[in-house]
Amino acid sequence: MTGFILRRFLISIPLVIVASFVVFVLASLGDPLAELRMNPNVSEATIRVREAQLNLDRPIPVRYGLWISDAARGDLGRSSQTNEPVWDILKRRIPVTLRLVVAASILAALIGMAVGVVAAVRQYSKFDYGATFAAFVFFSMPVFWLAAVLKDVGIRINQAVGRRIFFTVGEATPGLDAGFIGTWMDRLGHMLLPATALILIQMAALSRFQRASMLDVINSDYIRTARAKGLSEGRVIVVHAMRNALIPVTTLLAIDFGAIIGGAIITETIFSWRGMGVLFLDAVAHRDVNVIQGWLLVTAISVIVFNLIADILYGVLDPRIRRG
Amino acid sequence: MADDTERRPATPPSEAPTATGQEVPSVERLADFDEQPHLLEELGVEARSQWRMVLGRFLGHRLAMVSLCLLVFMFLLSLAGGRFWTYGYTDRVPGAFSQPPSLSHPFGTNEIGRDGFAMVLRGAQKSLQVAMIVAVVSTLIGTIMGALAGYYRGLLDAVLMRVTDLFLIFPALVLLIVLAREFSTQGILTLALLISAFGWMSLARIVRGEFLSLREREFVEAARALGASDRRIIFRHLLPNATGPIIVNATLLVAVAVLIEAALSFLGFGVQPPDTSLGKLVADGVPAARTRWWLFYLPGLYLVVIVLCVNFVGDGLRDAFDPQQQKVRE
Repeated sequence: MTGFILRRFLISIPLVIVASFVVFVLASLGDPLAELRMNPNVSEATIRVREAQLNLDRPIPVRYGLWISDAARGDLGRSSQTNEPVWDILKRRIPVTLRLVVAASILAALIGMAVGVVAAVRQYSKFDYGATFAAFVFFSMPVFWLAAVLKDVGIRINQAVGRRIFFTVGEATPGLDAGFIGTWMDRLGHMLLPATALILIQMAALSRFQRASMLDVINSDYIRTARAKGLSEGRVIVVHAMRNALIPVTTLLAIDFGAIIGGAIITETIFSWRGMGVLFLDAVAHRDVNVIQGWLLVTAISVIVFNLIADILYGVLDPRIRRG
Repeated sequence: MADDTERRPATPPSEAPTATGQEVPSVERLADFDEQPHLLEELGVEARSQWRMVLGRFLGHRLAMVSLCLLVFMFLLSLAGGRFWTYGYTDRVPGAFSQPPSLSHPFGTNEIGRDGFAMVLRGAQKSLQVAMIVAVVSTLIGTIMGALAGYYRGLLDAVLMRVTDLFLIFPALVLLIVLAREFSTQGILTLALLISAFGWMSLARIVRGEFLSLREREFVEAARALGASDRRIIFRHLLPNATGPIIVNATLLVAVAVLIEAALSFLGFGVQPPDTSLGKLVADGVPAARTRWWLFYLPGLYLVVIVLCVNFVGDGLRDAFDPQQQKVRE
């Protein structure tokens, strides 16, 4: 087992290195001085000085070397918009997005798996057809549309009732002083609608996958054996079938982590959260190269770590994988 | 999309019912039927090719057929409908600003008096164009990558699959935002090609998996023994056997492409004016959701219906190509 984990871990190190290089090249595509160059009042000499400051006059591999050695020491440079260190900005923004993403993934996984299992056990029942249809509808929807619909419905309900039931703007009430529990209640309240949007879309794919995986298991020989030796149907489903049917879904969860990040960027925009998504869009729009690089690096590493965890989990759950 | 492909049973359809006690036709007799089709006719059995069977199963899939009809209708409507509709998508109807849906404007009008329905037709046309290009280009890239990796294995396989992994590390939307910021002003074709660059990974893995298992089969060995070249084996023996998953994946790519284009347009990095698309229309309608609901909900529903139909057709195709996936419990 230790060998298996170590092997997986070693594989992801070159991945991080290559990914960081891709991050660097991608972010360097745009010219951060484009606006400066367009400005007729800025002299040629000033631009040269800025170029030298940002190391733009050196070849890309050299610049990458300088950047990555700084990044390894936790220095991601400063934002060209606010001059704040990028790492400080990220430290402030990450928790906001993380709690949305984590809450949404966990709930989506739990609900999606439950729906998938029930749909498989009661194949071709009304529940199965209903769940299948709902899943198709939700993964045929643009995330931003669903989020905007939820927001619109929330606002309409608030107006109809005459007081605020749903929070539709921001990730927390600004300047709220309500102690630990009060602060978290407020945050959860703000999270309700955005998380629902993410959950519905995430759940759709998960429930379909879980259903297929459960059907696979239910129709296998060892389940027939379990039934044949007289076990109760509940025991067959829960102990024998479900335990194995949950394994493949862990991989999907890890793969979908990237998709959830994409969804979170969009949901945050709709609900005006000051999280990673809005930060990224802002940085791209203003060609804030250091922020883009820092953002991409953090995201890439978190996706790799997530995949690593899923791989290890897969090995823990399924002995065939770690021996294979 | 990458779902259930890894676990597909690799049993060839030919070795199905032998345990039923029926007499298994010997190889010689099968060959007889192939060379002399009239033998089958005498028996009153029509020769059924694999494609015929797939088609038959698809036609029997009610939901997929209904979706296909609706999709073809919407497709033709957006391609040709604009010509027959009273208003053009750039016409400004005098005095008709921000009107709710009515008989003369079924999708209402916007704040400068443009007819909502005409804009939706135009938008759907552009969205479908982008989606078609993405489906074709991504399918080509994915098939080539997967075929090379699966057939040649070894070093080439390792390199190609690591490249695929690399593409999967970053969320596609994130990369597209960075790239589209630099290139999306260059028009719809560039945008479609950019999206294609991030749509091929799951197909590459699927095709690789198919090739890895197909290349070990006896008919490939036979072909090789007969002196067939790599090219002939790939194009004549392996690819035709992998068409099912490729076609299904291409269909689902159309749906994904429409959604990704919509997301990019919403964020402002997709289709740029004066071009338009369904995604852009819905995105433009977001701020109007509460005051002029028709500008937000109607294009949105139109988009959802198109994508939903594509997904249902894809699902029907999957069932038609691979009936083993539809497990029926007794």
